[in-house]
Amino acid sequence: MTEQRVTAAPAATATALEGDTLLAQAVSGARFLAKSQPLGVIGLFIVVVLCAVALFAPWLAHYGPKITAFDTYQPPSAAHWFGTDHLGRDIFSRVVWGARLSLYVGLASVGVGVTLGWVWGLVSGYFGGWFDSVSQRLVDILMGFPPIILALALMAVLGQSVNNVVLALIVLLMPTAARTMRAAVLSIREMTYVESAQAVGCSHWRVIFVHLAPNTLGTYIVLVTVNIAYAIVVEAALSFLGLGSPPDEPSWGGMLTAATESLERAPWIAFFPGLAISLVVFGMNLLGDALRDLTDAKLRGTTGAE
Amino acid sequence: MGMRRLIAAAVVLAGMAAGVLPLGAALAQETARRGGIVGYWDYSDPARLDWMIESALSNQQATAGVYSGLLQYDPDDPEQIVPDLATGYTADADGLGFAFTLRQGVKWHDGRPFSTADVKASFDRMLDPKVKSPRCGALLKDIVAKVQYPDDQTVHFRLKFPAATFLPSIASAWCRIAAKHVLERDGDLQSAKSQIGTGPFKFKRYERGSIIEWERNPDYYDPRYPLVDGVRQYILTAPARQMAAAKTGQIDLWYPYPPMTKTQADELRKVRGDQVDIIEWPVNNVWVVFLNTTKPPFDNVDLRRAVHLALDRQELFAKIFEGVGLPCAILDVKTDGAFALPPEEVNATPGCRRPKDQDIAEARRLVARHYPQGLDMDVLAFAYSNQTARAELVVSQLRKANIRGKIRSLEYGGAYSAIGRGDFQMIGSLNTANFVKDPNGLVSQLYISKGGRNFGKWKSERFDKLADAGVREIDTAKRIQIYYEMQRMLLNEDPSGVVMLGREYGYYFRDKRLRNYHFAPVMYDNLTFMKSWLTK
Amino acid sequence: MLIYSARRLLLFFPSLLGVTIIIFGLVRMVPGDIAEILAFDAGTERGAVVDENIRRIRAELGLDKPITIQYLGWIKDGLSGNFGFSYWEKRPVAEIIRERFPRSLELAALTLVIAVVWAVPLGVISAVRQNTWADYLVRVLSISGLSLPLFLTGILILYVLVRFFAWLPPLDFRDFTDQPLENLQQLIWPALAQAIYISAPITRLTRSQMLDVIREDYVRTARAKGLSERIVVYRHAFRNALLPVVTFIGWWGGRLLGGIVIMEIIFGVPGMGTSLIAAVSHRDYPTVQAMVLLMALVFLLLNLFIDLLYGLLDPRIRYA
Repeated sequence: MTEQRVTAAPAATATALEGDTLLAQAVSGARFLAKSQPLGVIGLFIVVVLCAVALFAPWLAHYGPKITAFDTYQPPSAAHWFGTDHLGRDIFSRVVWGARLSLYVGLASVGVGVTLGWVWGLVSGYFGGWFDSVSQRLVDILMGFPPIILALALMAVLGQSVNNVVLALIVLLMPTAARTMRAAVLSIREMTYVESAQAVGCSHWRVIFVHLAPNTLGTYIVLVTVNIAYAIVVEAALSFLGLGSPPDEPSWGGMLTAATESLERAPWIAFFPGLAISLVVFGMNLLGDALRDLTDAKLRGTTGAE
Repeated sequence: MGMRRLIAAAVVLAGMAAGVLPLGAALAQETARRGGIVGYWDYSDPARLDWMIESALSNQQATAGVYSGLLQYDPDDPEQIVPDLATGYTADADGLGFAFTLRQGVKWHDGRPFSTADVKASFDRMLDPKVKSPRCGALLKDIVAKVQYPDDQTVHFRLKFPAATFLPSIASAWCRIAAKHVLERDGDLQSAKSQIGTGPFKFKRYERGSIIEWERNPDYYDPRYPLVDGVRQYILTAPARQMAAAKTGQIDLWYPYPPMTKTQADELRKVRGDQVDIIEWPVNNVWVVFLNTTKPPFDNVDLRRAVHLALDRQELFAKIFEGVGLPCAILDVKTDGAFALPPEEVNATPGCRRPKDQDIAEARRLVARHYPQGLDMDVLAFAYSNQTARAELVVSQLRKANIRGKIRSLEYGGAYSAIGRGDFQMIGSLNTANFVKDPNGLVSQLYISKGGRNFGKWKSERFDKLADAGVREIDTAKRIQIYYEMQRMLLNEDPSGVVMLGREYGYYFRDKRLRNYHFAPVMYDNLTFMKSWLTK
Repeated sequence: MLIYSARRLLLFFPSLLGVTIIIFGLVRMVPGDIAEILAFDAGTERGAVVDENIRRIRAELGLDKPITIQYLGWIKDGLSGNFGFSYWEKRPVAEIIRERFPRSLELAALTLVIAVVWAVPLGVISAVRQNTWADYLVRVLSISGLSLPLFLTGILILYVLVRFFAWLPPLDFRDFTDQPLENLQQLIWPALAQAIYISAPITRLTRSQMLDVIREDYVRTARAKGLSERIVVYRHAFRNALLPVVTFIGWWGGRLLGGIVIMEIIFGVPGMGTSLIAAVSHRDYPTVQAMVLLMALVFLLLNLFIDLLYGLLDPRIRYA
């Protein structure tokens, strides 16, 4: 009961979640959202556009992301919209392909990490007792490591590949998500509908996944949006430290890292991938903020960022 | 065309540096001023300071001014060997020995007298087969039969055979002399407190990750030197900080590694062009791709040859070094003199000649002979941004010959342990410096079967014999022919486990207030600042 | 309260033990060890000599013993205050930490101070003027800070200093105790870059806490009593919103120790982060283990402290 304050310090003043209204809100939400959360709508727009870019990358990009056939350091022009980089690659094509890679890293790591954390938090919060105690110690242990250092060590162990970046991020995301979700579960566990479900003899698992889980969906969605942004930023940081995605993969973080050495001569090499990262992080956070305001007061202030 | 002009400019500037041109002469006549602190920088933390058993440049940078050797390269003209702790030497009549006469009255920085015992302790350690002395030991172990100390002023080396590499090795920065009492007290020279030398500067302080500082040695055996009060080396690992330090005038010198790129030189010229001399200079460093010859596919000479033919060195140099440097060259006319195969011949060989189409077609044919579907392989790259970028370009070029590399980039420790275990097929890009002013330095490191950087474990009896003959031959004209033959073999027959991309050139700067500092042909050999001085 | 504290304290030790096991295992799973690296880094002379060297170094460091024995040895030494010897730097790890820990701590503290100084007021303004342009502006600004990859912020700050002010802090790092002014010149920039990044969640949390509190009864009562808005906001609402914010900042401060490594690299601060990264790449096990353990310990202790503080302030928690 005490540890929730670690991630969810704001939980001290948390208000209870408002039952089933959430899904209904989501459905009728569009108009409401536009009025009450204009920033959130902007965020949503950015995210949708980037997803579209990632989806249609093969049709949008002019060249393959690894083609080095052009002159180096060309400024943006009609032939190369975003210019060319230090090895003579078309930056526009790399940024477009990079959307695919960065969103894949973000979605895969968060999809798995936060979902596992969700289940972990649900089970731990619902059962309580020694199981909860032990599992929360495990969370403590994993969160005790400085995140960048832990990711770095994991990458050194696993070796550099896109999927290993995802794996390292999953290890980073899971405990934080578990702790936040557990806090959310604790606040609704004692509610009457849960008790009545237990009273009519529903199995534990049925209570967890049929009754508790849907009521923490809001928290889950917020965690997902915010942490996708976090995952992309951490991937960039790992690239800077030389242990991100393999160097020839068009990851925005890797492109940006390589570009910092020619900041003065060819600022466009840094500008476009930098802009891409900023946009997606910005969009995801705006969206996450809006969802947070709409759903769960408990989550205000949570962020994946370190 | 632009490159030729740059080289011409470099020659002019180099001439000035050597005091040949009238302007240089005018500078030389200026009276040297005493005092001031020289600031320069170090690309990494040496952490371990024992230059007898370590090999990093940062190690030499950290300790160069603290120690003296028997001979040295003249700080006034780093091409020339001049006396240091030995006042001179005489060769034995049979050419198989050298007797060095030691300077008298020299003191260690802690006040103890310097003696033959120190020379003995140092060479005993560096020549000990159990002590892995990667620089001096590697240079001398095969040549020296024994070292004798007939009296307290003389050191006498007997050689196994007459070797042209002997004197350059003795003068090398890696064969300096440490104090017997320090070696006995500390066991090695790794820590800052063990840095007791006889050199022009005392080791003052080492703040890890920040600075290494030397101060003037008032008891230096030549009372005219050093001229400056001290030297400060800032440890600047991030490229952004290196450039920032240069642009804000916090360092007086950019040397030796990594050199500035052309872009960086241009940027600096814009900001401080009136205050610094910027020159293009050979880094005496080769850029190579390693192939593991102990396992498929590169145990097969056809595929080694295919890689050699497919790589477009001119494009590599145009993109990575912005057109500076010598594509394809194994030895360099500028640093290795007559030993280097003439550039016209090198540039006409398959793999180096232009246009590329014919060679790429041949490479594809060689690949198809063994791998009809094309070759997929693993390419190890060091996770430093400049090395990964270079490897990326190499891999991209090889695709034209149906060689599809997948980059596996590893950080420092992982990369070295993978290399040590032979767990790689290709190393996409590495640079190796020649550490002694003799072509054998490079050959003995990269190509001979027991070479320390022969990571691909290439073994050719014919080449080993040639290399051995190259060391034993005294007659320069004949020696040149031997090195020609080695280069021709590598270029035309078997590229070995090392596919040569070429010689790296780069840009250095020297603040105009720093006088009488000369860039050396071997980057380790003029880092003492003994005769340099600063104007106001 | 006593029982609660005792229980909380008891839970602290298993966590610490778990941390030690994971650190110890993880560093040994990274391929390659220091013996190999030393042997091949030096470069020349291969074969039998190298293999023998590797064996000798491993034996000297006890790396040839079973891993459980190594672990128990480490714990035993650690309990007696001996953190081992860095074979890479050739000096005791305790000495390295004594030198570097205070610098990282100072940088982390400076970062938090800078972040709090602007993030908390911005959060308050944002809450008080909810859904006005000021609120939107604050939110967009703070998220923008989060959107820039951290290393780019650092490099841009460095670039701006050089390009437009032709100035750079002194290259020779000075400790605060030695040269406070130079030290601050050197640390203020990395702290600033990191603070831009971490202020977003602080602003966000302050805002939401304020919003919650402003709606609560006693604030309404205060308003109803006719107290001026300013007094209501600052005397009543702000004070009550503060505790979670403070604990959150404290929690984050604990994680910051490891997080500032990128700033240490860019601005050349010889702190614990740079040392740790180097130690990882050299497989300098004793250094890595001691430093990560120290970081985890700081984090766990801060957690413990926060929990105990809550127990003290909020009686309900003790009985939960």
